Amino acid sequence: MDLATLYNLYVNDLFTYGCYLGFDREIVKDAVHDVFVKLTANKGQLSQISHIKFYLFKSLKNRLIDLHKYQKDQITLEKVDPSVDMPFNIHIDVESLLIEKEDQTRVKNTIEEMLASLTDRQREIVYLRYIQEYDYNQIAELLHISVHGCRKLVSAAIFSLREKFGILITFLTILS
Amino acid sequence: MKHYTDFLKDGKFLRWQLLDDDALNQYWMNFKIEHPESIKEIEQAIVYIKNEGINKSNLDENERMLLFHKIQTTILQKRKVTQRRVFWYSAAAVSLLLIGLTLFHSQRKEVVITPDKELIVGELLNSEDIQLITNKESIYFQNDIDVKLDKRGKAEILQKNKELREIEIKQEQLNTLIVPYGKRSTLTLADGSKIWLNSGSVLEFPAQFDSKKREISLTSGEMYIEVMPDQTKPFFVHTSGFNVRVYGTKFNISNYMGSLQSVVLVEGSVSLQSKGHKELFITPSEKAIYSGSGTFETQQVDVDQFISWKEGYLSFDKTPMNEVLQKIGRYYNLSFDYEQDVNLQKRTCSGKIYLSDNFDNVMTTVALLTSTQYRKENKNIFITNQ
Repeated sequence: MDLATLYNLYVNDLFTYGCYLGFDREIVKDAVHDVFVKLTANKGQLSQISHIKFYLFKSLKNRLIDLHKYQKDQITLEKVDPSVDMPFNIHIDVESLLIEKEDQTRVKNTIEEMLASLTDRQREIVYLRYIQEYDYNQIAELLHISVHGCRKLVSAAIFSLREKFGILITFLTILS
Repeated sequence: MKHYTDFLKDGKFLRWQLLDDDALNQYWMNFKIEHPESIKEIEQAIVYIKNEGINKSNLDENERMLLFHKIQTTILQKRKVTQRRVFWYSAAAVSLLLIGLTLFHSQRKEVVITPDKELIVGELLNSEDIQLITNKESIYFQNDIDVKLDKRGKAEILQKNKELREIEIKQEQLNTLIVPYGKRSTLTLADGSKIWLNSGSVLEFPAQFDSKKREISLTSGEMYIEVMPDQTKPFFVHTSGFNVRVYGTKFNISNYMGSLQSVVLVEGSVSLQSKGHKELFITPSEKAIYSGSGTFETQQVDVDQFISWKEGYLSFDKTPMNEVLQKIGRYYNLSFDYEQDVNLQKRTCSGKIYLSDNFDNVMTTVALLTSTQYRKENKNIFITNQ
């Protein structure tokens, strides 16, 4: 695959991921730029990279962690642990859905409330697992945590969603 | 029967999507068995949240184009430091890298939605600056520019409502002119050939040509060019996919991503070259459409329709609405949004539309020619059936 094809396939996902990690869009664009430039610098290795998309996600995340550390260093002297203190906020957009405005708001609010009951890392896992369809090993690598730790985070997330939304919503489903 | 939007309103469905567990998987598997008619709707609901709902990219077309261009420029500059001699070679490589861009739109997953009403929504996007990148600097311009190069490496830049500006451009260096959507520019090359660049274009050109041949690259967008005849120095235009060899002539070349690439010859003679295929000569009033795989399809056309943009008007003859809106969208930097099965987009348009600075006048004309209604609220545009 050539660079343009790779770029077109993945630029939107990479950009969205970077924005969700709480970075300014211009910074994300710069990071995406660096990631693709780096990719071509290692061109000899390109054919050896089996999961190019994962590779791109990983180098973007690492690039952003560096930037994040740098930004933090300007403010505080404390050691920063990027696997803990980076935000992750998923943007919900249902405006293109052809239903009443009220219903749109309801859908948006429900998803937002569900995601709000999770931690930043759990939200990131939802995004990587559900949208990007990465497996536990890959997610653990992106989050700089162990596979075991990753599974634990998922179980905890499932548990808190069930606790907060399980009963009530099943009840509503029966009613409707 | 449940519509896919009903599933999106269902909290249990959303929970299953975001974080499935055994109990939820079991529940929805049973549901599918009991309601096989809903499977399609469930799938559509899933596609919707995955692609639109919680993963919608807000990187617009212009940004995507410019970012890719920036990446290419950096890569090129890195190579230049190490291998100055293979300069042109890398330039050609860059045009090859762009082939994929035209494929982009067809690859994007789309959600099919049955329309409740006939509506096309447009949005006026923020305007971006024209950018001229030389080996020394990047210069930005808010308004359309006319650039004139001379034989000694001087460039005169005239910007609308601004004073004439002069800069030095080193010989044989490759420069880039980026004209975003909503802007236009002209460029007179050192040999006197004149280029009109349409909105959304990226052109690479040297300040001076070498002694053997003249070469430029239209990496994306559209241009009309009048080439100064010079038997001793053939003129080439490179695009992603194919090259045009010019024998002193006037022609239009369109290389937008997401649209078919084409060349329309106005006067003279050009030949089209693509890798592994025989050179194809076209005659005036002929349009050659590039298939993407090395071959061309030719047809006779009314030339005016393809080059009138440089005179400030668009000319249509039974042109489908979606093409009309695409052209107007590029010219005024608007993005139009509509579902594939909106019948409005199939209405045709015949006549001339003057591309005045008053956008309202333009849209009123479009509405008149297509028997539709047009309304504008702030930055949004709505087109509906009458």
